Amino acid sequence: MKSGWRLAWLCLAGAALFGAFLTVETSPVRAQETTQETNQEQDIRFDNGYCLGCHDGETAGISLSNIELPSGEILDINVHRDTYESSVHGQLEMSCVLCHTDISEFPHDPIEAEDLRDFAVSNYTACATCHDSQYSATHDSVHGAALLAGNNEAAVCTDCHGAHDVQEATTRAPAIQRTCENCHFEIYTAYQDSVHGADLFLAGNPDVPTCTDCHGVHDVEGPAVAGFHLFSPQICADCHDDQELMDKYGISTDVFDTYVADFHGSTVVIFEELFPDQETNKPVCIDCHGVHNIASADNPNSQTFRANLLGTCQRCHPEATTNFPTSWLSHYQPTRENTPLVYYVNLFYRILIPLVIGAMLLWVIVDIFRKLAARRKEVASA
Amino acid sequence: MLEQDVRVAHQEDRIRRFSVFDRVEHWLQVITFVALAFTGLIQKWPEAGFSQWAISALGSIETTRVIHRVFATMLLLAVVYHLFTAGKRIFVNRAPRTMLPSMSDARAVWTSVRFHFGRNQEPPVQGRFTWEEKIEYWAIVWGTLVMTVTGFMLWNPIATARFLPGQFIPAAKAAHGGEALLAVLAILVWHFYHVHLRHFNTSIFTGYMSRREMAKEHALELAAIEAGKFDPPPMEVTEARRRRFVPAYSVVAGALLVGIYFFVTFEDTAIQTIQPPEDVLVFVPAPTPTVPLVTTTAGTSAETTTTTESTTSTTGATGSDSWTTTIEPMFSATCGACHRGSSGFAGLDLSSYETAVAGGTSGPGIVPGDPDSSVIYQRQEAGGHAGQLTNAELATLRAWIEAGAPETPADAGGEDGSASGSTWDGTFGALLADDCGSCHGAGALGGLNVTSYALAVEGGNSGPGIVPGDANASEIYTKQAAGGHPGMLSDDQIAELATWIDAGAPEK
Repeated sequence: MKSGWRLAWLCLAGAALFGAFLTVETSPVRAQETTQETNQEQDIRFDNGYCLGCHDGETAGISLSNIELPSGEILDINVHRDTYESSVHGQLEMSCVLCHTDISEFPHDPIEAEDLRDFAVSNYTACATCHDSQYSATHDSVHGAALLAGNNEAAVCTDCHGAHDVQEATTRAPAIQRTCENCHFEIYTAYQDSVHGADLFLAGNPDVPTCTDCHGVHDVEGPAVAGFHLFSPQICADCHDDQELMDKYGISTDVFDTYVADFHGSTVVIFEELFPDQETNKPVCIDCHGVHNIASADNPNSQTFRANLLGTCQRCHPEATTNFPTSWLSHYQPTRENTPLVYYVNLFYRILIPLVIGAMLLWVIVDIFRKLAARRKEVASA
Repeated sequence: MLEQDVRVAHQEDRIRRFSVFDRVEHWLQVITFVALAFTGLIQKWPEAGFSQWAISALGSIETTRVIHRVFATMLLLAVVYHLFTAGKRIFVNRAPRTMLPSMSDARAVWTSVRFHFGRNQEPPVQGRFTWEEKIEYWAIVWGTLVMTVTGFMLWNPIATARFLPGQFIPAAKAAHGGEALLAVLAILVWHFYHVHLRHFNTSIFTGYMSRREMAKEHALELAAIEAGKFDPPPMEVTEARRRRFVPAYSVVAGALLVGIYFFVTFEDTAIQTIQPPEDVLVFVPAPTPTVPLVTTTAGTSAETTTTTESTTSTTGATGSDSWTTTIEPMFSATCGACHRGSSGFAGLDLSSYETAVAGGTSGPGIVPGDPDSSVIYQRQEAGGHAGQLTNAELATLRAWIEAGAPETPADAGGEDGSASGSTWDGTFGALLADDCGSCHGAGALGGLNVTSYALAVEGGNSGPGIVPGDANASEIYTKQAAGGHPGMLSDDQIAELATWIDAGAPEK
């Protein structure tokens, strides 16, 4: 009876703990961000009707004259109320001047941008007010570095997210298509035809990686970043080491282990561990399988299709001949069927080493006992 | 005297077993074996903590590989040297071939086994090399052979694949690693036990062994030495053989050295540069961007808005300034973007006199007669505000507050607010020009220009601006009465406007 009560209390305490854990765990990821926004909103909300009174020309019944920039491009200063109000910021009723901080009076200061691009680049900094971590990450990314180096074409916040029509971000098909494709059309086209891209678009498959899965979101890294090439196998391993995920596609998860077991892979692993800031000329996954155009090894156009392997090897081993590619075991563990020679050599030493060393040890132990026995006899006789 | 006797006795007690050539060979084996095992095993298990420490200590994995190959070359040279000493023993000295296994070794093994299990009282009587030593020697011969062949394949995989199936290369790697492990374990167990632990046999370092040890381990050799069987043949005999052997071996050694040279420099396995895995242009804008950065409207009017200079009154303090005529338009232009309506920044609403006086969260906006207590003035005087008045405007504001901050001009009818006498020239011309002129001035936003009576009456795109006698048909009044317009008149002013229009909107 008593133990029954104790059990009940224990269950109750457990449930309470679990509940507390759930509460913590399920709180929205963006909670902090949203609170920040809401506070500011309460503090400085401003009637957007004032701005839209002019800038939503359609509704206001006036035609707001657009601005011709010095480059001759036309900056459209119309904002459709519906577009903005259906955006994530519009739904939070955020004030225009939260972003357009340079506009504090009417008439506005003249626009100093030379062209449309200049205008976009001079305005995206407003995003930092609320999205500081993403903004900083972007600044440290390949895009931020290019921008800092004076490349005005480098992507800024609004290039991917839009300006007045900002929507909840996703990294799946249509969003990726809209964002990365705009500037990286050639790479995107290659990706679209790859084993990952084709599946993504043809089957709407959420498992396949999109641009951001490999390159990151705000902290986008390109191959020029030190260590990107060296550590790229770990990007592949994220999925290709996942037994459950790979089982769905009948892909072996041995690919990573067999790579590391080989000369190329073990060198790369050593560099990753010991010299992460140095480059090695040993290949990683993408060197053989392709990068954006990565294709199944069963695809006759693939760099890893058996008939194409020699050409792939020759990129680094220019003098390689017909037999050379078979020196790579194609991610198979050496088995009697696949690679009998390697299998039997391994088997030979697996038997020979314990046999020889075991016999030696046995002999040594017997010898020690004999010596001890002889000494005891000597002592006794003395 | 006594000392000398001891030395002589001591010297007689030592039997010379190894020449300086033999001892050099042992040292070569020690150095190459340890170096190769060390640099090799850390490559065999690169993920082990110790391996990574060792690779770091050696500089890098590439350095480790170079060191391994340097010692491999040294081992091959040691083989050439060994063939020379062995050849000299066989062909010049014609010494007994004491390292070859024989039937007596098989008997010695059997006797040893029996001895160890107590079936024999004495261990076997053995010659210059015991069977335990012969096992070790031939194991090293076998090991060196395996390591040389498989090492060549790993060093020159492209050349190997030219003659053999590619699978031989991973097989060679497996054999190289397996054989290495076998060799290291055999040395640790067999060699260390027999010559370091069992008793420390220093003869390979000193060249000598004590007579007592000899009698115990190499009794037959001791007997042979004492019988003079191991004495080198006379010089005149060996001299003739040496004259034949040295050139003959030189040819062999030359061939071997050339072989080693090829071994080491056979092929450039891989290019040294780092190939980019992909050759693409990174920045290629899509032919039809799905998300245009800034929407450009087709057929945009060629007419462009030229931002007009601020039309805010810059008149100094004149005493006749009032809220409606000067201050409200000034605030509207500079402060209205934020401090407007019930949700104005910091709770401050400058759209009406009452709310402006009341101020916001920081305190009273205007304290009539006391500019320094008026938060609006304080903020502006401090400077750096987001919407900042000019110095002239600030002076106007100060003078106005000092004058008691009148809401309406002294000559505009004052508090009774009668607008029956209002005219365009007297009131509304200036009011509309101030409040609305920045857009609906020369720029004629929406087609409306309020800078002259005729144009204001004519109106803009939305319809007639003023319809005398009918305020509700006058676009200027209806836009203002509806509210939310960027330039807003005060409620009182709007009421006056309606009264004036309904009264026929007199110009003069």
